[in-house]
Amino acid sequence: MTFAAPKRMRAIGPRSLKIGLGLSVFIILVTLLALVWTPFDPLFQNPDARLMAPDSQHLFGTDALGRDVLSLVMAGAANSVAVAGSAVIFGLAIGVPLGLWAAARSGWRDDVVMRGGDLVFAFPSLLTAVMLAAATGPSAFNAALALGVFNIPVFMRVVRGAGRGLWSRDFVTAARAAGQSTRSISIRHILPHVLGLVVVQAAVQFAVGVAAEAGLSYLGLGAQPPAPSWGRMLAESQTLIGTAPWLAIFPGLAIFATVLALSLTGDGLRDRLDPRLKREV
Amino acid sequence: MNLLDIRNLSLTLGSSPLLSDINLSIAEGEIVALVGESGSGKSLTALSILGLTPDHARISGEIVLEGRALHTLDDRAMQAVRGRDIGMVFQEPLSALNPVMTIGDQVAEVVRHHQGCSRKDALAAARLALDKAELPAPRFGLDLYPHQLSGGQRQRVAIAMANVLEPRLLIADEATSALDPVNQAKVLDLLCGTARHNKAGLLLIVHDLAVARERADRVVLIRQGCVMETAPAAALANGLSSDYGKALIADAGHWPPPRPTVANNAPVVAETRNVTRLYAGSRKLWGKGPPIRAVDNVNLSVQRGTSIGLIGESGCGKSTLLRALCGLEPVQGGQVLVKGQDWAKASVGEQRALRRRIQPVFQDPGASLDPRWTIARSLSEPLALLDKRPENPDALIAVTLQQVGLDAHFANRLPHQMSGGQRQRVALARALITKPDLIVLDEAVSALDVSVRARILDLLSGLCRDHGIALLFVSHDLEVIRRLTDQVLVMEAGRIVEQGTTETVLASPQHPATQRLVAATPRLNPETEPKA
Repeated sequence: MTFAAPKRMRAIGPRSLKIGLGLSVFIILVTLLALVWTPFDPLFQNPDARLMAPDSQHLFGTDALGRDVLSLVMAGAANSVAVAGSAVIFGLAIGVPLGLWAAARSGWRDDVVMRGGDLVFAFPSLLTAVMLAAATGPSAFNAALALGVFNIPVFMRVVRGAGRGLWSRDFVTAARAAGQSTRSISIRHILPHVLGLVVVQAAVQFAVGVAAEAGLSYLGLGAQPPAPSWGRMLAESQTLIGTAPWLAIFPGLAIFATVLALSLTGDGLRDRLDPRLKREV
Repeated sequence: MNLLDIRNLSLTLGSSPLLSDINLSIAEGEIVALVGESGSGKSLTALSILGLTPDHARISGEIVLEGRALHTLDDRAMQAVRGRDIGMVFQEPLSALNPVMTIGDQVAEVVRHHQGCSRKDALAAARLALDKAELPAPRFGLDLYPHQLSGGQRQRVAIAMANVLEPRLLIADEATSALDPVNQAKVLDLLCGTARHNKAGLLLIVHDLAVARERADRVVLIRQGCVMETAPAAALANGLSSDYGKALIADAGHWPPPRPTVANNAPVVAETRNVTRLYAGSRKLWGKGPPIRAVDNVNLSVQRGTSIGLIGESGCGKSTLLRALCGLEPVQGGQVLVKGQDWAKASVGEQRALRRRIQPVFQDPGASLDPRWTIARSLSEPLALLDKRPENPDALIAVTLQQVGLDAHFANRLPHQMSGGQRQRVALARALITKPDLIVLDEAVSALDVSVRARILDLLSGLCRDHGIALLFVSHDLEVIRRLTDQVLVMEAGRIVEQGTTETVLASPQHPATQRLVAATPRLNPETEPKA
């Protein structure tokens, strides 16, 4: 018999999930909206309206080139979501199969894969992005690739850790006795059981990816001008922060809200899916 | 005066009454067994005494320990009672102990928490408690961790923790069910001896009627949250008065119908020749320790239609041998042959053909079915082993379910929607569906209630008799072996040390390992059953 979790945990879990999911849905809707409509053309430079403080026409003000900051923030969301999203998909596509494989093959093959993951982990992601940029030129694609490489060991560890425990369970042994191949067991028995954990981790990595993409763009290693990007907006606002603080505040808030939304979603899902917190009566 | 009095205890959770009108008393130095099937409310009664009932449960009635009304105390006051006045020992010693704390610290923690003495004094008390639990220094230092101990030794640590403050009442919830008979007897000796010596009460929660009869003074039978009967323990042998009690005793003593003897020249379906299974030694800083011989030079052969038992203490290599026989583990020496063909030399295609000849059933029916798969999906998994897929798999599944006594509509259920006995029938159906020659069963009835166990034994016996399926049955429970098998093998430290017909071996065991097992096995009725 399992007993109820302390009240505090129960109260926070669902609420953070609701807030996180609500905010995430809002951000995604805005991102999609920006693909077809923004208040102004984000690339349109209006020399007559430079560095205007927020008002009723330009809700977030304008920048040094007279571009509408609200439109830039909205259009920049697509860049952040695309880079962080592809990095997550890249990590999932390689990390999950590798993790399943490592869980199934104990011994030296497992060691090789997992130590390889450690090696990637030990390498700073920013440095990889700088090196990639030096070799092939800075671009959003390279930023996604650099971040994606670091997602591989993260998913690998999650899947391998949970999968390893499942391999010693009787129903897996029964499947082996029923002649199922290692691959078939991994896909049909192991994967559905670890999927919840993978989803949680994907939300967390998405959040990390948005923040990291902003960092790379800030250094000029992400999407290149004129494509709008939150990180580069922050970098450009640096010299004007005394006279036009809105240039830093709004992209900063956008990054903050996105990371918060995804982190809350990830934590909320974890609480929901964690069997230790699940109540059975 | 009674040490503990429970009067009219009722507990309701939501709209379902889980306990109703429980009356139970324990005198000083008395051992009372609380006996019932799974879900009958045994553990809930124990947790009610400790005030550890689920949230939102409505409780009525009185629980009085030495004149103190426990049911009136708030949680803070109960915290002082738990551990000091009432000690509790749980079933699973591995999860009841903290794996990252030394055993000394864990026992000492109880003392420090309740008495607030210095660490040094607490450790001294812990040392004394461990000595009393027969874990003497220097072999069992205070700085050992739980993983360095065996299951029986861990349970002794749990008893030392429960007993370090010499509580007036000890509660043991299935504390020995996970142990083999030899360790079970030793741990029960310790528990009961401690209670008698300290003139404390002991509430022994068990599902094994034989343990209750041998160890307790009185038994309380509980079913669906109601006390069915309270009787002296000896009544378990001479007959209880309630209908439920009678049925329970009948099921516990149930023998499956006799099987015709199998001809000596029946074909061999599986055999092992000088099989040795090595496990890599523990990793040292440089290189490895010597390998562990889990199975050592074992010869065994199973003929069609026979039923063979494999017994031995925990860790003797029984399960490893079974897995090797199923081709689920590589062997380092000798051969494992199924129908004369060697697992190691078979191609992938030939291995599939071998697998359908030999199928396993495991101990825990809850763990052996994928919780996310419907019964039909689990049952169709082994069909891939057949040469050609059956034209109508659903019909085959329905027929197989009926063969194990389940209705065809169970095919659409998920494992958690079924009882333990039903799940074990499904596990049997999965083993049967490829029409194998041999089913190997690893403690396959140990987790089942008495009445369910009796039905499963009948079922197994019938499969053996009617379909010529051979059974290889691994168990701690010698009573089950006695009833179901024709021959028995005894293993110790990876070797087979004794074998023969079941009747002979269990009646006059020759090897010390067999003698220990037979002597340690509790008996429900010492007069009618042969005593070693």
